[in-house]
Amino acid sequence: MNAALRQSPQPLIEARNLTRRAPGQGALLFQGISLSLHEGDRLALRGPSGAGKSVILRALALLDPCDDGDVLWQGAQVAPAEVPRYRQKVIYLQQRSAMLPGSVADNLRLPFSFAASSGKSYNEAQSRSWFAQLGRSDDFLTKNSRDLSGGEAQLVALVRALQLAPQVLLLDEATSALDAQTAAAFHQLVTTWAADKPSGQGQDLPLGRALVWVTHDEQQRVNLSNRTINITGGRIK
Amino acid sequence: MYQSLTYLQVALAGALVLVNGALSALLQLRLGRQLAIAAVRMVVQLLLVGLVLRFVFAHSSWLLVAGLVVLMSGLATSAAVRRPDRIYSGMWWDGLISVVIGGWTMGLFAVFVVLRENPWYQPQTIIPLMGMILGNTLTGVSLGINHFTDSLVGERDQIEAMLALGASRVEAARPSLSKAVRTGMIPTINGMMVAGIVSLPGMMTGQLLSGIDPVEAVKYQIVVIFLISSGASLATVAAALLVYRRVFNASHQLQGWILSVRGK
Repeated sequence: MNAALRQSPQPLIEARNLTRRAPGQGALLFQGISLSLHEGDRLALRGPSGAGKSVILRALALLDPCDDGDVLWQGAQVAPAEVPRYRQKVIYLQQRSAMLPGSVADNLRLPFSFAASSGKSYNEAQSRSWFAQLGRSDDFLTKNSRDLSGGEAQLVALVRALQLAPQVLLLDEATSALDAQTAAAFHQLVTTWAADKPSGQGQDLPLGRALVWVTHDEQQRVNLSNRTINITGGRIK
Repeated sequence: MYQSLTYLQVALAGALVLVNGALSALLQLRLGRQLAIAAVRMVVQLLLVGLVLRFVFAHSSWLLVAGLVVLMSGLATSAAVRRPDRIYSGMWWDGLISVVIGGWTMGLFAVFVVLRENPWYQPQTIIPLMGMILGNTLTGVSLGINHFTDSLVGERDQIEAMLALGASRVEAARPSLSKAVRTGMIPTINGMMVAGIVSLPGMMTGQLLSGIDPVEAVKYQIVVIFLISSGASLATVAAALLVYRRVFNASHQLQGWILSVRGK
């Protein structure tokens, strides 16, 4: 880990006392979650199924409203109008990677049509290079998204996220449908990406990147994370 | 030429319900009770409407006409929001706003731009016209709400994937919105395609029966078809946009949980 980055006083993401109840039912999904994510962090969220790990990740991505608490980006609240831009800096990868109609390339191009992507452009050569690292040939880009397996969809979801030059990836069991070899390539790509300095698009990007993993794979947690938070019953233990 | 019907003539036609009843008994359809209730309801409803309209027509007052249009809009709204499979709190009001946007806009356009009658509140014109416009508008509203809410639930993962990649709520909702509006507009387009071929439209039939020149009746019918198709389209778009505002909040979050399946 890069010690200089670790000492950065301002966390990328700071969650303060987040609490969320299930809509309409009132059951607590998580309560009093406070955590900081600094540049260089590779944080693992560990806990049994149903402990609230995924909903916490979704809250960090501002995909769901919380009943209480705040999520701060570099020390400041994210205004509603800024949420789409925030979500390109902090990208959440769903457990079941949803593909949009069209080819793999169409799926990669689509985010560049969003207003939040202004100034960014699709780089096919970069995508090909990432897919090559994941063991996929060039013609993978032309494959119809309907024909992708669950594992292939997870690869597309990763590349679709990486190409937007995020600073934080929130990975929700993002390799659950991959075979061991492809999962290893996935891990390699993500850890290389996390250690790399952002380049090219977006001059305002600071240096460091960070990751949050939700995984049930203990080996994966040990190999990939440099911090672990245990979640049980929607609380940090 | 126009012939006034006696109640005996109406009763003769009414006797035909016995044919339906006999069929139901013969084929053991067990529809007899429903058939009897439907037939009685239809007769009572239409006679009541006839009496109300006779009163409104006799007292040509803009207040009465406006009151009746408001009542018809409320009834159209209730009928529209009864149909979609999914419901949410505030749906009736969204339905009413859509009915007003689609129906009243077309009503006002017809009265003040196309027909320009004096006085403008001729009940003989406005009431049947609004009846036809609102009838189609309510179909547009229910289709708009039904298809959009279906799409929001069925394609939730894709919508959330787009939001997670930085789509604004408008960008994430656009494919579902377009699909819902398109589906909502198809019946009116189909209606225009077959107008006068499969069956003569109701209003035209009425005018022909009352002895109006067929070409004059056709001209009226063309006006009415344009009004109802535009009204239904406007209402479909309005309904889908109102659902959109409920389901997506200002922070670009999809609040799908506000939708519940009817009866659950």
